Order: sequence, then structure tokens, then C-alpha cells
Amino acid sequence: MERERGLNARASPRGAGEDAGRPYVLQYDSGTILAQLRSGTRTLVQDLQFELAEGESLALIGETGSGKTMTARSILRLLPENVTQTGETIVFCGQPLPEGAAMRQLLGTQIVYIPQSGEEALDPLRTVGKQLADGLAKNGVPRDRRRKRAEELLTAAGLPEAERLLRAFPFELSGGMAQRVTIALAACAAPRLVIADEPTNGLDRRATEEFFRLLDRLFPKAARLIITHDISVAARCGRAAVLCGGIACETGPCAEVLSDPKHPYTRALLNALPQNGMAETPRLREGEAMCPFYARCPQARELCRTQMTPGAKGQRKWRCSGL
Amino acid sequence: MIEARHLKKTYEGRTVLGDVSLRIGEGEIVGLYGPSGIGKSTVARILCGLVRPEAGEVFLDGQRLVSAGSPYDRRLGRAVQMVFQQPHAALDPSQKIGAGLWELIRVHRLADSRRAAEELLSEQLERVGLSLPILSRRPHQISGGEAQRVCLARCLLLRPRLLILDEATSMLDVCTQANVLAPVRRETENLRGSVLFISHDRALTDRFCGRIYEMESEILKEVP
Repeated sequence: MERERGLNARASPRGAGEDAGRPYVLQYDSGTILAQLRSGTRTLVQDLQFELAEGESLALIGETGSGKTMTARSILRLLPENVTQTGETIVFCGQPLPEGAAMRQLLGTQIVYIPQSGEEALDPLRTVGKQLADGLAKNGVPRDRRRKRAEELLTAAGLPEAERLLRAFPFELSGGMAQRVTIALAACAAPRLVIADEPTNGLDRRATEEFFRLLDRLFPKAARLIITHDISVAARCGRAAVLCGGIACETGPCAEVLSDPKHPYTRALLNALPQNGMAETPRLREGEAMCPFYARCPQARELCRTQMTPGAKGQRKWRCSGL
Repeated sequence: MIEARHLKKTYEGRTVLGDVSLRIGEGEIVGLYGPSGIGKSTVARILCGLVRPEAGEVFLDGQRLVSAGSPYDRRLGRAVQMVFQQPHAALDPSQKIGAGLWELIRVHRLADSRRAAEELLSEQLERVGLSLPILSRRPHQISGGEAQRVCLARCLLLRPRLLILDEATSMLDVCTQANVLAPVRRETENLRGSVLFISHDRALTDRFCGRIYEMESEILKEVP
């Protein structure tokens, strides 16, 4: 099977390093991300490409195991030991993304990461205040101003009684509070890029609304990469890339992708929503195929085993041989 | 089939359940909807014996399951099973999936022979959309959706009269959610059991449940 190059999550004409006058914060081409497992080698992400300009948001949508988190970790240069990335091009603010010490300096200053579970991401042995002080120190806030700034950040993140919270350990926080603390930690910096990995998983609708209001308020100019399997969360983003088995099967403006899906996988995701009838996606056939949705696709054809035929319309792009 | 009357529970002086009553009939899928932290899980925990109410009582088929004055009837309570929000936290990380299920069959004497046990296990896995190779894996080697279906299979092996799903799909993607809930509905019909489906997702509760209770500060009210 010959693999074609992946979809780019932008179809509009553009200059090499900007979008409509706004400079690109991130230009990403995953190349191939491979995991070495006991059972052999497995491709996690293949040829995923996208760009993010200042103030833009891109939703990476897909089921569990579709490669969303590995994409984020490759941008953070935090891939697990058994995972390698080859042939990638990652450009951050016009420069190749560094590695090693230079990359560690970017993390928590220019690039911030908001994890899935605030409770699990916070250091259980250190108080909220100490963790915030670390973040502020890394961003050059003098020691004598850190406490006051930490209180301001917690208040800005919608947490009352900031003074008391500074002394609290993570186990004393509810899930929603812990998630707000991770946002406050991210706000220690003035980042160019915010990566949020399933940030509202397990939170109720009100907490989800509040999370996005906070993102808008605290990071108005940052580019945002939102990783989610929640369609209602994805709908808040400007653009979407739908990932299935590590391959982008459809990209485009979020409103169009979600209202008029082209790829059967995107349709399956939407049909599984409660309001659309919660349709199951059972395994329909066996066998290896180029399209990662082949085994479950109701529209699959023989051609899907060897090809993902590219299609495009306006800013939309998709790859499907079953249409 | 199960009826809770005037339940009350406080935590460190904060009243979580003021006066909560609910009734679930045979074969019903009943929703319990409300925002996070309102006390939905406390209701579930009382019904399956993890928390004791300070007032009120719970009856299963007319027999007292628990009350403020009497402890949870463990023998009767086997008919009430619960699937939790975090499937990986509900499985022993050091134990293979198969070992956990075998243990359940052995302890509760669910099969007369090894062959019968194998058949029971195989049938149950198939019903929740899993296959036999999963038995040789450990929890960290399976996805969240698979782990949740293992938890579901574990509950269904006991053929519960009441299955409680406490935010059991809130960490799952929409496809996996649909693939987990479909067998719940099928098995509920097969076993003539009932389901208490706890969620903060109103659209999901509306779709999946025949009848819905909404929880509002300390009380439950039935949604018309």
C-alpha cells in the first residue's frame, strides 16, 4: 500500500509563514510516529499536517487511541521512550522546534499544556502555592511578587478564597477546582501556544462553558490546539482535523465539518451522539486496509483497502475512496 | 423493584441529601441527572452499600436493603451492581483481566465446572462486545472503552436486578459510549433487570432513559 501525503488542516492560500497577515505560531508535519511494542511496531500517527496562526484554534477530534495525545506530546517533545518520530517538520514561531534544554525552556513559558485530569497532573506532594511559585519563577517573576501574583491567577481562574487555596494540597480540591488550578498554572506564562488535552473530560456542561470562557480571557492571542473526543467542545474551535487511527481523514472549518461531514468516520462520530441516536459502530469486516476505518465503515469498497482518495471543496479536504 | 424512602446524608456538616426518595421498577432504565458535586453518587453509593444513610431506608423487592438503623444486607445487595466513572481505577492493575473474572466466578460459585465457567465467560464477553484475547491482558494494556466493558461484564456476570452506571461513560468518546451503552440496553431487556443511569449529560440521559429524576440541592424530583 502506498501512502499518500496527509491532509493539511488549512486549504486557504497563504504565504510561507503567515495566515492573512497573522504569523504562524505552529507549522506541524508529524511525519511518522511509531511505537515499539512487544508485539511489533505500530504506527500511531502518519502525515498529519496543520498550521496554527496567532489567536486561532484547531480541534483534533477522534476516538480514544486515534493519535491525538501522541500528536500533542510530539509538539511538547515528550514522547514516551518506546515511541519514535521520523520525517517530522515542526516549526514554532518561524524557527525549528528545538530539543533538549532549549525545548525545556519553551515549555511553561512560550508553550503551555493543560492536561486531561487536573487532579492527576498536579504534584500530590506540593501545595498549590508552591506549584504556582515554580511556574512564576520560570517566567521571571521576582520572589517577593510571586505570592500576590499566584493569588491573582487563582482569582482570575475563578477560584475564590485564593489565599486558603495556596496552602491546599491537590487531594483537597474537587475535579473542577483542580482543572482551574492547571489553567492558573498555564497562565503563569504569556504563552504563544496553548495545548489542551481533553481539558473538559468528566466536567459538567457548566464547568465546560466556564473553562472556555477562561481560555478566552486568559489567552486571547495564543494559538490553541484543543484535543478532544467531545464534539460539543470541538464545535467551539475555528478548524477541525478528524483523526482516525493516526490519519487525518477530514479537515476544514469546524462548523462545516460538523454540519456536513464527508468522511464516513466523521459521520459515525456524529451519529454516535445522543441527539443523533447513539448509533453503534461495530466491526463489519476483517482485513488490513489503508483506511483505518475500513473494518467498521458501512460504505467501504475494495478500493479502500489500498487507497484513500483525496477530495477537496473550498477549505474542506478529505480522503476517502468509499464516497 | 427498588425503592428508596426519605434518604438523608451529610458530610462534615454539609447536607448532601436532604430528603431523597426514588423508585425504580422492573425492566426500567431510570436516569439521575444533575451537575457535578450535587450528590448523585451518594445516592448510588447508598443503594450499593458503600455509604450508610443517616435517615431513610431502601427496599429491594419489598425486603429492607439498608436503613439508618440497620446495616446493608450484603446477601441481598449482590443483586445491586455498580459501574464506576474511572474504569482503570476499578480494576486491579496487577491482575490480568481473566484472573479477575475467574475470581468472581469462583467466589460467587457462578458455574459448576471449569467448562461451564469458560462458556459463561465467553458468552458474557461476547455480549459486551469483547473477545477472549482480552483475558490475558492487564488493565494498562487495554483502552478505556475496553476497560469499561470489562467492568460491565463483571457486573453482568452476577445477573444484577439493578445495575447502576455512575458517570460510566463520561470519560469515553462518543463511539465508545454508544458501543458500551448498547449492550447495557440489550442485557437489561434479556435479564429483565433495571438500570439507574447517573450522568451530568442531559442529552444523553434523555436519549438513554425512559424516566428521569433531576437532582437539585439535596432533593430529587421526577422530570415530567
